[in-house]
Amino acid sequence: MSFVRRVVAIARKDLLAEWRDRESFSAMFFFAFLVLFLFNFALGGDQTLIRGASSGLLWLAFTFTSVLGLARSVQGELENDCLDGLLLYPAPREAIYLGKLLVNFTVILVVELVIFPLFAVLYNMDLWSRLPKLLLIAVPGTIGFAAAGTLLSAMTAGLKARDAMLPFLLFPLTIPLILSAVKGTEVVLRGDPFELAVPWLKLMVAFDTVILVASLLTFEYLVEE
Amino acid sequence: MIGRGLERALGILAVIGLVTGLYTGFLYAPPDAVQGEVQRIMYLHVPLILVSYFAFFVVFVTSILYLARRCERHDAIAHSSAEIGVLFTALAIAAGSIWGRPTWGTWWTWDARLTTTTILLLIFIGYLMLRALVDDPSRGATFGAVLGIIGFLDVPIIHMSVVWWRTLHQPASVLRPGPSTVAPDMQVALYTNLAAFVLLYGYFLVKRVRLEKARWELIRLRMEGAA
Amino acid sequence: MGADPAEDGGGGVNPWPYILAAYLLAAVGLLCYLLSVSRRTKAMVAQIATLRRFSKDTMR
Repeated sequence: MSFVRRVVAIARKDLLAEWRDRESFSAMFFFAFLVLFLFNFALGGDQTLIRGASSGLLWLAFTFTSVLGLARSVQGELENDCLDGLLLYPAPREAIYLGKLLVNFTVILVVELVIFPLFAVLYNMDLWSRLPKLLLIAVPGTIGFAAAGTLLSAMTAGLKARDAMLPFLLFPLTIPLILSAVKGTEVVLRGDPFELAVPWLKLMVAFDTVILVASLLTFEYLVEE
Repeated sequence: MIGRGLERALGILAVIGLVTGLYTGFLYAPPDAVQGEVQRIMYLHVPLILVSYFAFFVVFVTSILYLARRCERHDAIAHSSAEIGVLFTALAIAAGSIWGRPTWGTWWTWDARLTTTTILLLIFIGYLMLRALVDDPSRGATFGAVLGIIGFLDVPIIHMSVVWWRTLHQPASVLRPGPSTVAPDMQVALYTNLAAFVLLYGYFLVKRVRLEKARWELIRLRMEGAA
Repeated sequence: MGADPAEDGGGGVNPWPYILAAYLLAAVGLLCYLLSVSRRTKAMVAQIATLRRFSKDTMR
């Protein structure tokens, strides 16, 4: 079997498990929805204020939500000693990392795709016509966040304080990514020319490249016994 | 054992350096033409921040070496250097903040370099917290090594993003005067203090590594006792 | 932010409390760290000594 097919096989296993109980998806979705809903009260119901801060609010919701899903993806393997089984799978460790990354990326992106229209409806914004450009920003942002999150959740999974530790490590590391995504989304939502978002896009690609290469090089050390 | 001799020598040299640094900083160097006396905080702030960046660079290098060779010594240096780096960064930010109050009129500003440094501090506080939480020493060392590498690689990207975000800000001349803008007497004071803080870092590192070695020894003894 | 260092700097404010505060804070921080490292090392060394003595006793 080729490397790519092994990656897909690992991702398929997790996605299938996710599809069967939809546990982390529904938790993430509901949490994101609640955060969006709360913004209204946090900002005193001022619609123009909310619309002005919308890109920041959206990404704040996405980052908080993603942490929930990321923590679960490795934790699920630790229960019932699934990780030992996974490590017996005849694939390089990098394939396990990429498979996990693919799952995390897919789940977070799906949540984002559901949240975009909900946000548009709740705060009366026109996102539909801008969805392709929004995706152009959201996809590299989500890749980087999922890549860093997958690597870090492999470290925090077994810990007692894992729920606090994962965001504590993840958020400072991903600040450039969150900043770029917020700025890029802001450009799109304001309807400014897309060239203004290109530097931020480049920065996200740079972050994604660094974190992916570093993760692929170091992941095998994290999972070995 | 690069034992007590080196430690004592470094300690004595650091104290001499710091005293000389205080002398050059407060008596030898003239007050700044623009900022006046308050600029003397620079002789504390700049060496602290430069040495802390150096400390995190040491973490980066020893982390790579640890992953490559699996030698406890490299991990001991990485862990120790991270702790000292966090201390120095925190003190540098605090001193800078106190400096900023009379010069900028504010304790805190979202300046690019200040923001980058604070993010770096947060990353390495996370590093220390993770290391404190992981019980298995070799797993902790591996996790720390990976985090130390990624945290350091992240710095240029963080800096770039924050600079782009804050392009409207003042140039860095206030935060870190380049050699060209600093009078020769002030340069002497700055470099004396820098040397003193490098020595202090060395002294702390040797002392802290000794503690780390004692910790490994204790764990080994406990395991023998359990077996 | 925005304040011109030339007009704000040497002028009205007395700088010495700030200078003293910065240096004192650094001194206290560094000393506390030094004490903490020595204290932790002493505790470790004492524990190691106890363990060694204990294991010798049980060997006999």
